[in-house]
Amino acid sequence: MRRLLSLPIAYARELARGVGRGWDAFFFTPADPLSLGLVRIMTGALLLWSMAVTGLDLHAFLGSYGWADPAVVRTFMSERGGMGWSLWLAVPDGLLVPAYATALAVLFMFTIGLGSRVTAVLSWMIAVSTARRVPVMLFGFDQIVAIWTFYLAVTGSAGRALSLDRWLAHRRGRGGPAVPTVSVNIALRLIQIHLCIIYGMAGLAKLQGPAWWDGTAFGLVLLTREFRSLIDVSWLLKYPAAVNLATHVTLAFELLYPVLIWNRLARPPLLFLAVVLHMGIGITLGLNEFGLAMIAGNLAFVSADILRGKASSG
Amino acid sequence: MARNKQVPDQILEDGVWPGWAKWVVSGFLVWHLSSQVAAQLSAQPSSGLERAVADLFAPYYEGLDLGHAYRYYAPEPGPTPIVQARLTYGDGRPDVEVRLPDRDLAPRLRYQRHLNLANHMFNDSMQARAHEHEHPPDQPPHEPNPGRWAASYARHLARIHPGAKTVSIYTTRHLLPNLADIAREGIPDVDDERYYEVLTLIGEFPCDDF
Repeated sequence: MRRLLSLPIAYARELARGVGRGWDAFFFTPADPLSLGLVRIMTGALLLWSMAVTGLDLHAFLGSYGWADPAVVRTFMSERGGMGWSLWLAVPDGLLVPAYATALAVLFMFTIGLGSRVTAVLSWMIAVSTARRVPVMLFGFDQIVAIWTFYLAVTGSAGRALSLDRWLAHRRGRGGPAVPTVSVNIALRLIQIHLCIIYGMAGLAKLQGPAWWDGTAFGLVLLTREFRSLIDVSWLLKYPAAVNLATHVTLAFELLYPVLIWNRLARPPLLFLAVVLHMGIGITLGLNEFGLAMIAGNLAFVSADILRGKASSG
Repeated sequence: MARNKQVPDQILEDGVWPGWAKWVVSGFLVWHLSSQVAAQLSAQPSSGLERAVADLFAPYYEGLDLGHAYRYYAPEPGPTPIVQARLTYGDGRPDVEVRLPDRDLAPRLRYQRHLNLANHMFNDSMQARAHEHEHPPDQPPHEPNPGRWAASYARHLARIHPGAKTVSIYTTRHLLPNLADIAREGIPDVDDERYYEVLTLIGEFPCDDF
């Protein structure tokens, strides 16, 4: 009887110790900030570009008589638990241009890594404020860049590498080369896990659609004429086998990514496929910014050693 | 993996986290990642249990705008909503037609924003119409409901077209051709009327109301 009890207790202890050690190594091992620096530059540049494009219709999107009536926006926010907020709702039309110019300046500073800890938080606030102020103009791109910015901001590690902050500190003799830190590792881990959630959920949801099973979904995407492809690849429709293959590979990629990306040997082909997939979406659907935002997230899986041109130690 | 296994001792200050800091951060990580999974699973179709669990985290992920469902092109690619608006002046000026999205818009991201304007308004109007029929059997149906974004868009259009008397908002959908038709006839022209649904009037809005 005692042995019957001691075995599961010993197993539970060993399991808890193993999980604890694994958790500690996974989240609390210092990581090289180089990849995260690249994530910040790409994410910041995309936010800056998006804000610049929003400025082409500044009053139509952010003004009080814009597409999204502030009263309606506030109603939707209150219906979703009242937790929504947007700094743009506090900006009167007369101050819209200076507020917009300030937002552009903050996003630029975030991109080049100046005052990174502060500008990362402000950039995230700008991204969320814009998303909440004009929810009717949003698509996946806005969600993705806001998430990467949130992780860069909450870990305070946005400017650890490839930043003006680091360069200035180096010039003043107050900092050496980019050093591995735990906070960088936490940011990278959060981006990695979130990428797995995104791909996994996108893949699982597709399983509800017959076109993803019968291999025609990619053809349907090509036929969505309102997307305005950069390059017309509709000639691919003449080759049903190619359409089937593209459909099956897309689905398999999304379903397998969350599992296989953690395997050192499977990672390079998966990352290559991710780039091909997102570049393909950019070309066929014109969703360039979305593709680049996803590629930015995938950089979190790229070894700093490889980026520095050294052999990867995994 | 993006980490360095040979970290010099002098740069490990940040690596030597006290136990309490690890516990605090671990608590946040567990909470945050649980909230993200819960938010994903609560999107329809979902179970009552999944939605109840997500409700526990809702104030957190709603406050931080992190509760998205990443169900891109799911269950499968479908028709594209289009919004059309007609502004009438009543003083002899010709009507003005507005299309969302306007195909001439550039750059591409700006066009995509306008494509989303149409998409959101279409979904909102369809949802509002569905609720029109939800009324107790002993009570009359609700008044026709155009949805809240339709009125919002009409207000904006009235503002940028001074002197307009009414704004009429319509929706349609650009349908996907059948792959068998493509094999037989080739790819249809983008304006081929066979691949557009009949325009549906969502609402007529007097500009004086704005």
